[in-house]
Amino acid sequence: MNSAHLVDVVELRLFILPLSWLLRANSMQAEALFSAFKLSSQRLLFFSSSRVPRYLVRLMMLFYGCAFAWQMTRAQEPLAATTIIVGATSLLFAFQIVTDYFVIVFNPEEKHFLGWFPIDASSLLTAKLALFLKTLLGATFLLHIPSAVVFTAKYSVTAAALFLAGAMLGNILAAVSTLILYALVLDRIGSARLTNLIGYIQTLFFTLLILFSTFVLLPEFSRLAGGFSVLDSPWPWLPPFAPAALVDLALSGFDLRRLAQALTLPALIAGAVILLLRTFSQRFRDRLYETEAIPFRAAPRAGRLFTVITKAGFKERENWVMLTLTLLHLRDDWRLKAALVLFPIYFALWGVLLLGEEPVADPFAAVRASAGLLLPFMVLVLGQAPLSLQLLTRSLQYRASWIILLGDLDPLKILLAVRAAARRLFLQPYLMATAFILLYQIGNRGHVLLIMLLFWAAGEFFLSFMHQFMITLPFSRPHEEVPTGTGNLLLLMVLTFGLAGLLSGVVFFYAFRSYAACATALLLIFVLFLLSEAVFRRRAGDRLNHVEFPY
Amino acid sequence: MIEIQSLVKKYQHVTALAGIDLAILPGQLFGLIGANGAGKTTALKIIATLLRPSSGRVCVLGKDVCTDALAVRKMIGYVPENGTVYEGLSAMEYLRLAGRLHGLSDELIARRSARLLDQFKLGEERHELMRQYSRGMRQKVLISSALLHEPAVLLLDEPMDGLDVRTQFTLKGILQDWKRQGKIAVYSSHQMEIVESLCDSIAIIDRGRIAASGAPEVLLNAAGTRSLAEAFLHFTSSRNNEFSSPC
Repeated sequence: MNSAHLVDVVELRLFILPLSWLLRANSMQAEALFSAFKLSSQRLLFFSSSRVPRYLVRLMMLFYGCAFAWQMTRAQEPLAATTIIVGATSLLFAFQIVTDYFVIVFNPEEKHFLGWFPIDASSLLTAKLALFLKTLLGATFLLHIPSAVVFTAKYSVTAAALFLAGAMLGNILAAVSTLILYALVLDRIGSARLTNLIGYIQTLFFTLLILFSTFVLLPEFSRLAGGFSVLDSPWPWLPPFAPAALVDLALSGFDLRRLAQALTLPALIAGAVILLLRTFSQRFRDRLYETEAIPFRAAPRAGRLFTVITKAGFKERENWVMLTLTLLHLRDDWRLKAALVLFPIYFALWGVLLLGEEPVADPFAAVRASAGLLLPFMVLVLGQAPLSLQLLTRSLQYRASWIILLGDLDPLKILLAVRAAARRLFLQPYLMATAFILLYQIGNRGHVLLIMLLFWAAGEFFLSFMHQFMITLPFSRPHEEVPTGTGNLLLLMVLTFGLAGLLSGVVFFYAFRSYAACATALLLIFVLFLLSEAVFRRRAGDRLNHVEFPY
Repeated sequence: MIEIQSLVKKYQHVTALAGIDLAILPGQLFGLIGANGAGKTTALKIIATLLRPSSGRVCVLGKDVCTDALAVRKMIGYVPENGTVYEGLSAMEYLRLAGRLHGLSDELIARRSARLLDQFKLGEERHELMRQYSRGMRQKVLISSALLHEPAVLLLDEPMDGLDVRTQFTLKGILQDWKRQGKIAVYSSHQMEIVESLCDSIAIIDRGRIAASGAPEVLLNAAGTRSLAEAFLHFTSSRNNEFSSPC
């Protein structure tokens, strides 16, 4: 008996048979529907039929669970911490129910799939309820077991049991409320508009989730900053520090150990790229294998690259087309609109927190005292990067990109125009708003300029990075194809935000401890940006040459 | 036998079916033809229990589609127009789902699925996910699913759409066998040649009404034309040309 079959048998015994008995359903039908729903959900969520992405998601949930538990051990008021954790995870579960399973389990178009089969209502209900319970138990287990262990160690087994029961209850309440709300809204506005509304919820919740992670991780960064010591600790071995070690190497004399530190970065980047390419997405890999390396019509030149970065205007026909498509996309896609609505709200929130008469926190006090910009950077990078990336990635999902291929437009200019549109519509306003807040807070304009340079470089780098790996790249699919692989995308985005945010935060912190390191960091980011730009052109150019017309 | 009496279906302000009467006998391969939006698909969906009629009565082998829908669904195989499938399943997994929903044993499902998929030349792709299938391949799976439990009544809505020539011949052969077994098949299409060559009784639907019905040769004689397409044009050009012969 293989593991998959074993899981099927366990699920049958644990969920299907008791529920079928309880609801007087046909267990054979319920089991068949349960299997079909489960498989369809999993395979629609992830591009790859491999189990690796699903295991990664579970690992991420476990990571969240451990992070919550860690916070709990340090919490001054355990009850408040518990309330926050249970509330957040209940929301997480409700989000998962609405976004991950609604396509299959709560599909309003279900009758077009199953309408003519002799299914009695109780069998259908049993299958859906079983899937719901399976998800509930799985999420509760992964998210709350580490916290329960902490409760047992800190208080008692009874406290842990109460905590688990509370968490389960919270999850059930959140999920049932969500389902009721879903049904009511579905009845009220219909399936098409509801799908758009789900898009809103996804955008909002994803942003909140990232912000919540920031909240969980921030205290750890403060602690880390306290123990930071240049080159005399293991931290300089980490990738962001390594290039700065080169500068220190030049300043303080040759040292083999420091050279090794400097070389860790390229090695780790190469490893990460190989890992990403090998791990993610069967379709992506297939595409890479199938794609012939057709050289671009216009070879990249250094001078042209500079033009790309500095003055990609809307004068060219290609730029005009991409701007028009972006505006059309903005008109049609509610998620993009939602992200745009969130954008000023987010800045208003931070404005109130940082610029109010009685600021909740004064993160820049540390800056003035020690020239360490850790906290503001963590807030801005971890908090704002996800939001801005939401804007950027949404802006790249042109639903009608194929139109441009009908004309005699230059593919290279089109690609550059995509970047220009995203940059002008989303990245630049974000940078301007950030600069406004920082100018108000920090007297030293030199500091602000440096910060903005770093942010600009980081923004360009994020954009290039996302272009490399986003499965919804423009031209990668016809506009009418149903987007699948949501799980892959979400996973990729969380990993990107998490890793890039953490590394950026630490590299910024280190950069402001030493101006030499700051210069290195800027140079590094710029080089990475140019590199990724070149790779992006080549890969996306290949896609342009291989795009299939929907008509 | 399928009996349709005074069938009316209204969608808010649109009347899709304006009072249809039909009787489809066992052993009959019955063709429903009509222009786009004439009401063919609506009629088939009502027989398949997917839609409820606004008024009138439809019985399939003595079971009412409104009051005894589950019993009707057990007896029918349905191939929907623009059929949707669970794209995350393979053909075999989908047929297993369909078979189990009809109460077939796993062994029987495996045997019949293999036979049908081989017949439709899908044997090699049977374990691939259907999101990778072309439209024609999905149609083959839907047809296989409709035939899997060997129903007494087969309802086909534009079944040849997307099928290659070889598969069209295969399906025609299956339908001829179907007829010989004394079972009922209702075939809805706007492809006149196929309906003319396959069906032994035809109803022409025009704007929700039966404009003409009867055997193909009877319709041709009545219209004074040599092809069903010409007869169709004759009967649908004016409401005064309504014609009906005993089935």
